[in-house]
Amino acid sequence: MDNHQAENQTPGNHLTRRDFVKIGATAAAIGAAAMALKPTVGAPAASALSEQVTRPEETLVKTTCALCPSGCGLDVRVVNGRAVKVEGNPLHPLNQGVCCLRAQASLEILYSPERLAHPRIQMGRRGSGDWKEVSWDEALALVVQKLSDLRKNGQAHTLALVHGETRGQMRSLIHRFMQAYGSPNVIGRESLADQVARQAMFLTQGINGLPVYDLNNASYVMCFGGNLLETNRNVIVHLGAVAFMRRGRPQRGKLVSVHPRLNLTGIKADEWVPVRPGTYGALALGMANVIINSKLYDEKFVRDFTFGFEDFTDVNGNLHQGFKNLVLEQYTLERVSKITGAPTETIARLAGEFATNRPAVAIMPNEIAELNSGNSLYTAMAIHALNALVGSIDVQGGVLVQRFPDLEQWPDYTPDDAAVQGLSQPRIDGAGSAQYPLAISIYQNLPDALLSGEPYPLNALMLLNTNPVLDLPQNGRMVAALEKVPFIVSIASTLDATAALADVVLPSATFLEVWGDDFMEGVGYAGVSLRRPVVELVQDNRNPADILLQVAAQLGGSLEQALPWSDYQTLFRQRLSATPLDWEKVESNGFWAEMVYFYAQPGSPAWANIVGRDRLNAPKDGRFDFYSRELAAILSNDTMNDLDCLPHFVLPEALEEVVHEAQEYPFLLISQSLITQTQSWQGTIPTLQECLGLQGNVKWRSWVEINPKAAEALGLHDGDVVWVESHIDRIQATVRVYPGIWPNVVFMPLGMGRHTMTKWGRNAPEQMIVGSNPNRLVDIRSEPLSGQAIIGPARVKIYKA
Amino acid sequence: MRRHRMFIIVSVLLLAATLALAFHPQTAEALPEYSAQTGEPCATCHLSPSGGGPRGPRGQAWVGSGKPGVVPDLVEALSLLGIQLDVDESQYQAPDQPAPEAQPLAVEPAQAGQIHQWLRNYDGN
Repeated sequence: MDNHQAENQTPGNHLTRRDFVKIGATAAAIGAAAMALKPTVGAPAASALSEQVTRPEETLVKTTCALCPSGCGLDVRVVNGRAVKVEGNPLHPLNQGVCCLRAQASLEILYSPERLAHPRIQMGRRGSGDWKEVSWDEALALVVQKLSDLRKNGQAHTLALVHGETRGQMRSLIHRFMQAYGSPNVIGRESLADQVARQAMFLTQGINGLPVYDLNNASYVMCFGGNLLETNRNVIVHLGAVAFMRRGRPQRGKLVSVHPRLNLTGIKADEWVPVRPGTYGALALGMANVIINSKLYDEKFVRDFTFGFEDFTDVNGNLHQGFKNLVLEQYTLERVSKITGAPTETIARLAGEFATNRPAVAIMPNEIAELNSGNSLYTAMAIHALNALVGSIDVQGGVLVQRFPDLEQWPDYTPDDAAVQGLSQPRIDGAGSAQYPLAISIYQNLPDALLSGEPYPLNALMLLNTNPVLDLPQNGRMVAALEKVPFIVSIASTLDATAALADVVLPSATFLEVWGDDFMEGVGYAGVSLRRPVVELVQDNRNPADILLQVAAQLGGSLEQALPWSDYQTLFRQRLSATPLDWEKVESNGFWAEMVYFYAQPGSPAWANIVGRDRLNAPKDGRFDFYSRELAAILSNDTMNDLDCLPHFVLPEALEEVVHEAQEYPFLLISQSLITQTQSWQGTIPTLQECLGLQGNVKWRSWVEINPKAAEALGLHDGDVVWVESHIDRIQATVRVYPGIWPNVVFMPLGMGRHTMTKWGRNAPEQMIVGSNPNRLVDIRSEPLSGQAIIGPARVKIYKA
Repeated sequence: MRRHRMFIIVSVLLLAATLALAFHPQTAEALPEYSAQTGEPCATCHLSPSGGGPRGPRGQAWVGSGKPGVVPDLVEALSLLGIQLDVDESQYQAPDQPAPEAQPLAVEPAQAGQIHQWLRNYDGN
């Protein structure tokens, strides 16, 4: 190699500059040839094929999901009349193109081989499976005959309609149907989950609705229980907002999850604060103690726009205790630490961070089994009181009030004698009674009401998208209770555990086959999403709303007057005409929304819609009630004291140290829904079931999470099969040793124990029951005042099977 | 031998890079390009100032109208999305005067049934 050659060499290798240029030129030539060829590659073949193959007819249909309460916009790709793919609607304000795994898997519901093809009538004993398929005319005639007979006999009130999640105007349609029919017994499932959050908003802020949390703009977000990023009512909105809060803006916010278990939200949070189950209220009050003691609260807001912070005298000169002194006297750091198990320094630090990193929000959970420990009402009030303390009401990053589209009034009708007589009777579930004045429904009281026949026996039960046998096993009492009802009709898409015990099943179309409306929630501004058929009906099924309208028309009388529409699409479009909607745009976008939320300054005219708007017995003075004046009116009797009107903490019964019970059943069982599970009446989706327990590789069974120390004490290891037993029943589960759980707490997933929609599952035999239902271990009772279900924690013991 | 091996390695790498560029999907979204195309900062369309993620009304309307050269202003965007806003912003602003004193508590007993009827009729789903 001469000097010239050496000069042209790249140091460290033997490749010359000339070589490099040659290689580059060759590669560029090949690349250019490839680019030149690119438009024509495959063209001759495609052209030849196109002559032989007819291009499929392909459309993208915008609709709205109904598999959870979020109500996300969907784009469904339909090829030759068959839905083949579901994605998120990129224009939709809630999910902005995001689509969770439930919606992705929803085609398995649409095309499930287990869907009921036609209406059917039970020919033999209930539950015998001796069904006869009949026409819609025949099935509806039978239902109408039974319901008509009750009205003629003055027994309209002995019909109950029990329903699951409703969307858009469906809930008010159900209520109107039953009002016109003449029965007070409309019973929804809200007492299992979000009813108490609504009540807390009403009693403190004077708004009869669920709070909206403006997480996009919050600096500090503290979740007291729940699973904000997996199963909250507005999970998709929250997922996007939390991602934005932490990574999409210059100033990063902080997310804190308080829960006995490190759930998905805890895993994604900046900090997980483990506490004993059912003690969120105490923690909130302990934080309030620090905030008040340190004078970190929003003094101007508290002074001018709240009521009952300081001690006060009433019009009769009686002295009442206010929130401030209650908290300072009773919720010291040491006491709260002892109740919750959280260290005093942690509580103090959280309080300081919450009060000094505004806007901050404290979130009340609205998921099933989260605020269900028997102290839910005052716990929810205590959590929401933190928002008022730091002035986070209707500010950017605070708690907003959801607005809704304007609706036309329902047309007037005159209730007939049967309706008037029926509506004068009390409800069978006790909601609205002196014992449960705040409850809208008390779902869990259904079995006892049916079994006792008090206040009167039911003659007919109509079930709409609900599965009480799964929700409320009550040691077999729910099944026994159904035996007491002479006539049961179920509107369901599969033969779930409750529909199997009905006399008549009217098959319900899935959300992908029907017209419907869906109010946007979780963003603050008003909006409505459109649900529409993406394909022709797969089976001989009908929209549940249309079924109610058809029954009303055939019953005649006040029902026909009250519900004069032939179908639900006509109904919701007519009522939404009070909002200036361009239906062409609604159909092309899949929704209508105002898109802009206006924050009302405290004291502004619009503030009247933010605080106090829905009060019935308390002043609409724009003041947030630390001391609930509405509760004072409801409880106005000789035994009422100030504590009844103030947020406070009551220790859940299961946490009381009843020595013999604690020894026999040493663990506290908690349960939560997971995103892989649909609602109780919707069955198991095979693909989701495959994703169920990925961390522990438990998919088609239930698992129980146990703290490593407890597992060691019991000699249990991952994969062991155990019995989990309470004083009423026992179920099997596979052990998952999990350090992310409070030492004497065990966890099992909700929504297991179903047998429907399993035929497509891998190795799933027909009538296979998937996992174990943890509700079988709980004697579900009702909390006074709120009627909220007391689900847990339940005391259990665990031993090898 | 070593030189030959290096020649092959560099040839393969360069060829792979060129082919990758040649066959790079044309549908890939280079978001800063949108900013250059419209002359707007990312935050015009996105909630995040740095772009990406959820879009605001202007961004939604821009995407919905086929990504034209100009991003519609807020009023036009809402109109494109089928929204007519009729809001008096002064209603949302507090008057410059002290808040009135709270009235003393005067309890009127409530009727439980009446509360139930009232709460049952909440707005929303």
